Amino acid sequence: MLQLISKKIILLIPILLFFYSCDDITRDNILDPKNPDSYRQFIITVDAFVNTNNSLPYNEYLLSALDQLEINYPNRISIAEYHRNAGGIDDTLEVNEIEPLYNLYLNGVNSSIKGVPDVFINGIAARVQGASSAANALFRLEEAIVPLLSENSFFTIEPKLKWENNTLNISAKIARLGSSSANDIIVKAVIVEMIDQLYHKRVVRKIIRSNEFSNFGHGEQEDVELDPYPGDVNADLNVILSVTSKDELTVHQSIEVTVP
Amino acid sequence: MKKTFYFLIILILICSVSCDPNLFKDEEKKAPDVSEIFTSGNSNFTVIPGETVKFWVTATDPEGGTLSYSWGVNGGTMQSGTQSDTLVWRAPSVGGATYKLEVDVTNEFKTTSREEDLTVLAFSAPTVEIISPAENAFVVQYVPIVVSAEVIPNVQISEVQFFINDSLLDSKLAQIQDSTFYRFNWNVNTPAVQTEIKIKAIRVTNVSGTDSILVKVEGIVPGKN
Repeated sequence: MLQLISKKIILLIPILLFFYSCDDITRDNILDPKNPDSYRQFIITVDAFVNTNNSLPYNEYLLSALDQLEINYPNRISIAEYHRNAGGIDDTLEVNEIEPLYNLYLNGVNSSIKGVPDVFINGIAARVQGASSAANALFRLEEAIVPLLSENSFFTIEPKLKWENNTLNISAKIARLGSSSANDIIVKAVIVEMIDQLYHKRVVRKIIRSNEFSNFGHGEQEDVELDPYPGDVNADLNVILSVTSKDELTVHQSIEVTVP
Repeated sequence: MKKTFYFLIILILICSVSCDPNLFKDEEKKAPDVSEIFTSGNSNFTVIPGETVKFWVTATDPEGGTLSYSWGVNGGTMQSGTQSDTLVWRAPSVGGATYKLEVDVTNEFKTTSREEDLTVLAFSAPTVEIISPAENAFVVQYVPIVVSAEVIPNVQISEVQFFINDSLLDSKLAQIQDSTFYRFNWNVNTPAVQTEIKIKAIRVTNVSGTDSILVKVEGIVPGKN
């Protein structure tokens, strides 16, 4: 009888030890959302408003600079080209959502002067308007982006993309990192298409926004499902997913994924 | 008894007042009649650095007495005549300042004063420095900016001119406020190339100083549609 009790105790010890040790694990992994010191590298969003139908070379200078920027900072920036009508010249790639977003940004920086190329970085954290050469445009873009690269992000985004009956279903798991909660945020998906390799590499086709999260506690995770995108399965698409403030003027994190 | 005492006091007071012959009469004495100050130089009292100039007044004494003169200038050199009706004064060798010239003419009873501002013209070029935008700055086409410059010393400046690529865009005739800064609005309606901004400050003596910088105008396709 005593032997049987001893055997049971011996069996219980590892189980107790297991639970005891689990309790004691310190949350010191910076990738662990529950760790109050967790963070991710910031992926910078670059929203470039352009018109490539006019005869002036400024927009092409800027687009060339963006190509070089992407090479200089691999996996650190997400670029979207918002084609819009300007200077009396229509850009056939303009879509409905672009002008309201441009107006939103202009109001955010208290400017009434429209003109492309016009680049907004991480919402309205920085703005680079105009170009006189690709080299000058690159210089100005880097000047605006480099300080932002050293900032940490306290959101992580795990996207899930799936085609179903010629419709792209877009969802993501969002987690709040760090030690503070976030208020009034949305998740935004920008569908970009590579139309050609010259000046239409990241043409915005659609902007899809989630409902608002009024409070997102630290360590909290949410599954977000966005409206599906009815597109061409053969198109060369990328999706830029970002967590932004409700007014879209501040970007907290972004990620760019290739549509399978 | 009391009445007598007060009567005596009043009598003493009246007597002591009347004993001073000038007590009431002094107000009737007249100050010297003095003309404005005349000069052998420019009638608006501007002189060139190092120039020797005479200043004088004509004065009469309504009281028929003798007049005395006292001249003063807070700069330059009073060479002779500081106690006479004519002062000989030499301007400082460096221009660009204004001095106060004063003369007091006194008779036995009163003094009459006259004064003028003496401007010593500046013949050295003013220093001009463009404060903003910075050299090689990027400016966006059609987006207005303020070009500001400092002019030192900001004296005797008749005009400050603002040029873009040697074309005069604007000028300011005089600095209204007591500041060394001049500001111009520029709409940046120039081609998207390297562009020269020049500010030129011109003195009343026609001597001028300039500063110029190059900026890069970044082109845009403007407007909504």
